[in-house]
Amino acid sequence: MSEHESHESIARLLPLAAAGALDIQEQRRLEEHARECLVCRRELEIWNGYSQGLRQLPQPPIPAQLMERTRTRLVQERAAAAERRWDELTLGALALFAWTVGLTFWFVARIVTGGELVVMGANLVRFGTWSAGSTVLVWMTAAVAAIALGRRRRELRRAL
Amino acid sequence: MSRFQDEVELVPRPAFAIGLCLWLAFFLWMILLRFPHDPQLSQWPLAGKLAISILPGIPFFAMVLLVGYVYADSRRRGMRYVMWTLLAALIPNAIGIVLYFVLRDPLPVDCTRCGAQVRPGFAFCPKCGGPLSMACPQCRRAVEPGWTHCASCGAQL
Repeated sequence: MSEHESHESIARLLPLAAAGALDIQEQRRLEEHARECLVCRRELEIWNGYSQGLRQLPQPPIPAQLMERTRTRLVQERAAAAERRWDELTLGALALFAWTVGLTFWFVARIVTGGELVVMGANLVRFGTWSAGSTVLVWMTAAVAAIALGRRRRELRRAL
Repeated sequence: MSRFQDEVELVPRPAFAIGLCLWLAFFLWMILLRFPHDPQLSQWPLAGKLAISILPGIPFFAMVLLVGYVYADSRRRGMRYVMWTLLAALIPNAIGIVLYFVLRDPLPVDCTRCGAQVRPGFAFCPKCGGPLSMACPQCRRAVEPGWTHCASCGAQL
């Protein structure tokens, strides 16, 4: 590490040193550097002044049950995050499953009908027709889901 | 993994039986009726015949289990379980099952006083009036741990 880089890295530690948050090795490295570097020594003195001044200020009272409330909130947030992850995994797996079932249905339909199921001039078990039908069905279902979700959200907002 | 096992245990036993029967029926239909009578399929090698007789049954079996799950889960959530089971079973490509998972209601909670199943988020049991969760002392609506003020009336908690 060059002298300039060393100086830069030590300068970043000065506020932490004034707050007494450095470990023994970092503290020793800083002291060695400050012995030879006038700029860092002065800056450390300024930070020490800030630190002492802050310690003399009256301490704000800690709200009652702060620890308990924080712990409860952490537990709730962790549970909510786990639930969200589970939902995402479930929906991902279900999307994959829906594809598998769609292809399997098509395959079985082809075997059962011998590759030909003509309705109004269209062969329904041709891959193109089948996938177009599936896409229309998925879009229709998504529309129904969006309408139902929107309605539920409106009801929830009204209840609040 | 335990969450997954809990969910699998919800699937009613008859769903396993129906799924296995369907799988077996498809396998037997292919082996006994389809292959001997189809000139194209009868020329397939044995491994291929077994593969297309067994593999398509797996998604069908899984689908029957999922329909069983939808039945049991919608019932415990107090939803219209007959309608959801029919939708899950009848909408092709398992779209009804996906739809159920997107739209299902949250799990109800048990009232500790009378044991009734109640929608989550209520402060008091609608059956016996017993407390279910913390409530605002002013407006009596449900509040959450960590709140310092009620979200409905603004009262300090």
